[in-house]
Amino acid sequence: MLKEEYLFFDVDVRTKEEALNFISQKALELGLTDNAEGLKKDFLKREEEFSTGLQDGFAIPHAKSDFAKKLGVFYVRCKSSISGWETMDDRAVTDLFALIVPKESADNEHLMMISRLATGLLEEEFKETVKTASHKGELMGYLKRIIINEEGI
Amino acid sequence: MKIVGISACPAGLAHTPMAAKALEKAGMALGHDIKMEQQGSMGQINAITEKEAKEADLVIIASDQKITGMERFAGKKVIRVDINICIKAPEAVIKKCVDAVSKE
Repeated sequence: MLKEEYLFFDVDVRTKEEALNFISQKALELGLTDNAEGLKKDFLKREEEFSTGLQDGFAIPHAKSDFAKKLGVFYVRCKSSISGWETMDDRAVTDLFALIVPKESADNEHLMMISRLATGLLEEEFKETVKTASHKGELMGYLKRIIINEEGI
Repeated sequence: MKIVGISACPAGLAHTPMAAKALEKAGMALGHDIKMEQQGSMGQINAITEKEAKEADLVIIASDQKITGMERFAGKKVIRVDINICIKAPEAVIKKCVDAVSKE
């Protein structure tokens, strides 16, 4: 669910729509979906319920979708901030964790990993480490340690 | 104070565990005994037992979703709060809820 090729640095997207387009398109290219448009619609549907913008520039768009074939977690670091993405502290979104989750087949072990990643976003140290990681390999190793750690962080 | 609660969000993936953890951390920091149940994509996690429900001074429901097992809290002071606020300002939520109960 977490691979180096799921990490994207310096992505040039300026709006929520563009960001979700990018994520859905990459999901198609990487074989996580057969229908990028359908997946994007499910992301948008979730955003309509309430915005997935968090604090300190992070957002966690997610879709439990019939169009998701495989579970994947993307990290997208944007080149510039995204305007119009409602957040809890009114700061503009710059870093995204996108959760692509099949509607039926996600098992508890993977859901628990997602849960650890999400609760990681409550920690200053986690956010700082993610934002400032300069190598994908290094970030990958860090994220794996967080989501596999039984104790959480 | 003994606090129990439940968090739940539409997809049950991210905000549910975040709110639970944020409230637990804030509650402990403020010197309370707190346990949060999660009703998310994995079903019930860290479920509140009948005994814990009975002993609680306060029940916090961090959700606008339908919650299962509300009968556990019959006769208890139940406060519903917005799940986003719990992630953003968990200490303020706990303080406000505790104040509301203390005044009675």
